[in-house]
Formats: sequence, structure tokens, C-alpha cells
Amino acid sequence: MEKAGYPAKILAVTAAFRNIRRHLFIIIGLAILLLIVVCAIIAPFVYELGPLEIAIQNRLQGPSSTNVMGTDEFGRDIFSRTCYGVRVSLEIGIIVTLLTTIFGGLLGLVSGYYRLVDAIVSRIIDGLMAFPEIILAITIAAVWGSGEFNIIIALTFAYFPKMTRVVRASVLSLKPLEYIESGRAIGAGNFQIIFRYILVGCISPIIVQATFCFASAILAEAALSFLGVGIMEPQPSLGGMVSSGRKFMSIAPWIVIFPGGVIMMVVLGLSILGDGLRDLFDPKLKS
Amino acid sequence: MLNYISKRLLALIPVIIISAIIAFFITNIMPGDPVRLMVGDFATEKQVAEMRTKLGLDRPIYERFGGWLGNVAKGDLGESLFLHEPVTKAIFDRLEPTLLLAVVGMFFGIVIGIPLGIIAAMKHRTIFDQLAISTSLIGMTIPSFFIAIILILVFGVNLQWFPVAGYEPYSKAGFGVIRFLVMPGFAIGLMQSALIARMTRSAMLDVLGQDYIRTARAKGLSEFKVILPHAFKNSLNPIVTVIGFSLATLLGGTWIIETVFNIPGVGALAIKAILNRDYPLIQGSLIFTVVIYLLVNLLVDISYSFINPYIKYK
Repeated sequence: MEKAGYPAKILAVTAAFRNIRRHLFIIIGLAILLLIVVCAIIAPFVYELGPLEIAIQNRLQGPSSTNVMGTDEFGRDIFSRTCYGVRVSLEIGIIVTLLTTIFGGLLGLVSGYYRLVDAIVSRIIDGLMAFPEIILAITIAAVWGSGEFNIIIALTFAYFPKMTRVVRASVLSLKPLEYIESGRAIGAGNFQIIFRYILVGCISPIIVQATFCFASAILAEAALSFLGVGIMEPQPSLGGMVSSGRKFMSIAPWIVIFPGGVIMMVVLGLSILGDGLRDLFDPKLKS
Repeated sequence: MLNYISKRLLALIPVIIISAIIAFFITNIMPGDPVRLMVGDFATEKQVAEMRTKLGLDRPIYERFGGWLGNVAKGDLGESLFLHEPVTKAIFDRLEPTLLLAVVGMFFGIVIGIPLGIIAAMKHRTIFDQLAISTSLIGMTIPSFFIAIILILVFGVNLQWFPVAGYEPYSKAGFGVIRFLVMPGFAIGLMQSALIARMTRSAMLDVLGQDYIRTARAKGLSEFKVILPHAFKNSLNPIVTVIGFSLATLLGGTWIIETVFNIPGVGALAIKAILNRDYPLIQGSLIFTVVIYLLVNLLVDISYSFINPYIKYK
């Protein structure tokens, strides 16, 4: 009804788009990620320039056939460094997401199920969530010292509370349902109820939250490295490359645009995938 | 109402205490020796021991924690190791740029986000809707420091519309202070605008499906009157909520953006404190951020009853 007034063509295109949109989002998201991941994995084997090779005579060269994305202030190849940076980002993102999901998810399951545990866990989560995530991550990473391991710990610490909240909320909504009661009636113990009955019902919010956590972790890792408390030079990281390239960006803009653009593409791919998954799982949107 | 506010303020106390405990232990239970890091590699054992005594780090952790928490309760956040001044003074001296930056950032977030969300909802399931949503998605995925750098490159270096970095306080520059805040404000506001646009869209869509909107249309009201006073006003609650939540990201963003633009605010102070391992100052900045965040969210909760008189607090 409210669509009256739009040309038929726009309506037709929109309708067609809507039908495939749900899966389209997932496909586009996966396609972007796959492209970047394949580049990052294959590049070191087919591309001859290494991420740490210094060639001062070639410093600040623009993109060319030898240096696809140009070179930085030490003549290092930006494409090679970007590929390496993507690998580090993805590695950190994946581990943080796994840890967050396991740790945050377990805590959410238990605290949603047992009221006594909930009383304690929820207060701690309240306290943690009163900190902006990135601030928590910056502080832990900086105080505990930089390096991949500490960044992973810092980011897990920053992002697990949200996962706990999400899982706890689904547990609370599932707990009073009849199938849980029927499970108990046929003699299922608490352990079985939590892991065989409730966990299954929490899977979709967990997956959706995990994709968002993945995207946030990659953004946060870039921010940490940018601020100088994440991955340290000379090891390449996307955030670190943008940071060190800042001084030269007015004469050699590619030095910041490529690594920055790649962070954006990775996060974009993950966010589109997350949106697609949410649409797929959300019963309200299915109608 | 007053009763409600005082109850909520009381409820904030345990959260602040837990946050304070977290802030204390993050900085105190860590691998390595902070004193060693502070005095450097060339310090003698005697210097290290002196520093340890001076900072009170030779006392057991529970004793230190008790003393520290007691002081925090009195509003005393200790003395900065690096600036040699009280932490509270250091923070309040740098409050102006941070608050103004947050306001400008929020301004951009709202001014871009709300119209984008309204348009998306009005043109629901058309190309315009998809465009608005895709734009907001892109806004959510660009790291704020990267936008900042692009803005500096384009509007600072090339076009020279705004100063590339730095800050002049209001007392000196008057309203000219805005010039220093446009680019950083936009850089942290863009992500908020994306979140606000998405929430505005979904809240508007909920309301636009209601019967009273159909009634308003049936009465022959102009689309403007249907959208703004009828629909938008009634979808304000979730929008205000997301604005309150996005403040957390915004406050976090000030830590990064102030560093990029060299703005002498609380965020840049905190980052400097972190890099100098100035523990009292780090803890102070953390507690300050938490208190601001919790207070703003309390304000958001209170604002519900002004937006929607049906919501009454007891």
C-alpha cells in the first residue's frame, strides 16, 4: 500500500532483490572474506617479495607491476605486508572469537541456569560492561605488554561479557519452556539439560554474536596496533602499517589507503555475513 | 521520580565498586615487574627498592587495594607518577576537549543517523532502503582512525579547510574551537550514525505498521505530519537507548581519535598514561570513563518518561 507511487521497475527489482537477499548477504559476505583469505594465504607462495625485505632505494614508490600496492618508507612491499597483516588479524580474530564463544558461552549457560551463580556472574559482567570494550582492551594489552598472546587475552577479556549476556538471555527464555520440563520428566540431569536441550536452542544467537565479535576483534586489533600497544614493528599488522604510514601519507597516500582499505573490507565481509546469518535465524524476519 | 533517581543512583554504587576492583586488578596483577619497567633497565637494585617503597608497592596487594578503594570513595584517585599532580586535577583539566568532542561526535551521529533511518523506513523494501542500510554498514566497518587519517589527508592537507591537528581551548578560541573538532567529531560520529540509522529504521518500521498511523493517513494528514509527530515521536525510545549505548563506543573512540588529532583531552591523557605506565592515572581514567558512561545511561533511562509520558517510574 505504501509502495504506491514507485515505478513498477523499481518495485520489480526490489522484490527480486528481497527474495534472494537473505542468502545474498551470506554469499556476498563469504565471497569478500574468501577473496581476502585466499589472497593472504596464497600470496606468500606466488609473490616473490617478503614482508620484511628492506630496499631503501625503492622507498615510497607508487603501485607498479613489481610492487602491486607500492612500497613504504623502508622500501618494503606493501602488498606483501598487507597479506601478512591480514593473516595476523584473522588469526587473532579467530582465536579471540573461539575463546569468547567458549568462555563467554559457558559462563552464560551456567549463569542463566543456576540462579546463585547468576547473582555473582551478572554483577561481574555488569562491572566489565561498564567499560567501553576498546578501552578495556587497550588498557590490558598495554599494561600486560604487547604481542600476539597478550592481545588475544585482552580482546577476549573485552568481548566475552557480551557473549555471556546474549547466551544468558537465551537460556532464561528457554528455561521455562515445556520441552525442558519434558526432558526433566524423562530423567535428564542438569548437565544433560544444559548441554543437550538448552545449548541447542542458543546456537543461533551464539553464531550471530560470534560473527560480530570476530569483526569487532579485528577492528580492535587494528586500533591497538595503530596506537602502538598491539603488534609491534617490524612485524606487519594492518593497524600498525596505517600508523607508521601516517607521516608519509601526504606524499605517498597508498601507504595508508591499502592497509586501511583492507581492514575495512575484512570487517565489511564479516558484518554482511553476520547480518545475513541474523536474518536467516531471526524468525521475526522470516515472514 | 526523585525517588526513582535516588534508587538508581544507589544501584550504580555496586557497579562502580566492581568496575573499580577490575580497574585496580587489571593494573596490579600482571606479568612482569611494573617498577622495573618504570625506572628502566639501567636502574640499580636500590633505586628499584626505593621506587617500590615510594609507590607503596612493597605492601601486600589486599592492603594496597583497601587503601586505594577507601581513597577512591573519598574522591581521591591518587597522584600521577608522571605529571606529579593529583589524578582528579589532571582529568578535570582535560575535560573540556573530551566533552566537546563527544558532543560534536554525537551531533554527527544523530544528524546523519536519524534522517538516514527515517528515509530507509519510509522507503522500506526499495532500493533506497537498501542503499541507506548499505551506507550505514560501511560506516560501521571503517576503523575510526582510518577515517580520521583520510579526513586529515583530504580536508586538512589538500583542501586546508580545517586544522590537521591540535586544539585551542574555548577560553582562547571562543566558538572557533569548533574548527578543531569537526574532523575528529565526524571520525567518531560516523560509526554512531550507522548504529543510530539502523535502530531508527527498525523502530520506525515497527511504528509505521500501527493502526494509528493508518488512521493519521486516513485523516488526510500530510506525509510530513504522519512521519514526524506521529511515527518518529513514538519510535524515539529505542533510538534514545541506542544513543546511550553508543556513547560507550564514542568514549572509547575519544581515546583513539584524541591521539590521532593530538587533542589534549582525557583520552589522549589516558593513552599517554598507559604508554608511561602511570598506574594511578590509568586507574583514574578508567573509573572516570565508567562513571560518565553509567551516568549518561541513567540520564537516558530518566529521559524515557519525558519522551513517553505513559512510562512512569516508581
